[in-house]
Amino acid sequence: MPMTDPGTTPTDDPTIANEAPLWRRIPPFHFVTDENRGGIRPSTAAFEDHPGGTSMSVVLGQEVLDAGRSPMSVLAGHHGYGMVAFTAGLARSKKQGVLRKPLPEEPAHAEVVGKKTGSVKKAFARESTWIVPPENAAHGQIA
Amino acid sequence: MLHVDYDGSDAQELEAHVMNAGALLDRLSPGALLTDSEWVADEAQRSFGRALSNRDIESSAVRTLVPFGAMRIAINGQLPLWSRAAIEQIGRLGELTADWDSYGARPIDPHCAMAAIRLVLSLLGPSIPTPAIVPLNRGGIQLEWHRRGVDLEIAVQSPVRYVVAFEEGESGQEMEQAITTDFRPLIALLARISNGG
Repeated sequence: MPMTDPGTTPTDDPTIANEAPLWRRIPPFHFVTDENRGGIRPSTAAFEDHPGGTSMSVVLGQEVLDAGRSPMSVLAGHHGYGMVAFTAGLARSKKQGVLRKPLPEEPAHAEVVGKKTGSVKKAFARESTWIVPPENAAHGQIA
Repeated sequence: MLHVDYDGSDAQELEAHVMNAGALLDRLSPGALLTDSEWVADEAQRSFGRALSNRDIESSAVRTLVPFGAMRIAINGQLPLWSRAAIEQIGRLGELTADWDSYGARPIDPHCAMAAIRLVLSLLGPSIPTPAIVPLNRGGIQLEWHRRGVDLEIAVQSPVRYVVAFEEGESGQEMEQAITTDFRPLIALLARISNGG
């Protein structure tokens, strides 16, 4: 059950383990070459809250797998996109919470709640790992 | 000719020219870029069936037209060769429609595109590699470099608000700063990723 105080909005769900992988789609416009660390990684710009005001969307990766779905199912209809994973623990270490927000079209949908400062976005951009890397994105292959 | 007299040979020389945001914006205005009313006119032309047949930058000795979605951004004179790749990429962002990131992103604000082009023409030069041009989900544009041990990002959040994030691994130097009026700190930061630095 989400951690909550009476009269307050829950900010984290402790039933989501720190080790739980959170997946986020990365549009091709957010692939950037990082000569310092080598390779292509997502831009910090890929880790923002929704412009409409809701928190950053992710998918609970393990729940997708437990449902017998492939990671590519999260990218259905999004040709050329990549997908990265970071842990709920990383989010919490940056003063973010993780809440389940199931949607009709994505039962494993969740949100990462908290202010997305430069430091937070930088951590997600650098410490996330590719589930569907850019070189595979166009071919529908997972890492 | 462009209203930019920077020849890119010397960052110090540029620093003397760019003293504040007003100076930066004055470098290309007035008249360097289409006014709002001209933009609307251009869009209206398209709606009457005069679709732009050429999506490439059109350049003559007196004017350069950068396609930006249904509009075009006009710049007096020819683009310097070193600026062309970055400005082409900025122009392509005009083709992004709402929800281009699948998470509800807004289309890119043409005024942010103009500001990004001004920034490229005013602050960059031939010794600075072409940045990654990255759309922001609230309609802004971010310029990024990750090289020479430095991470530098300049987010054009609006035509009058820029956020600069800088980090140098070796020295551990790190800063994040909103800039609205004084662009001088950018000169020194750009020198750190310059091929001549």
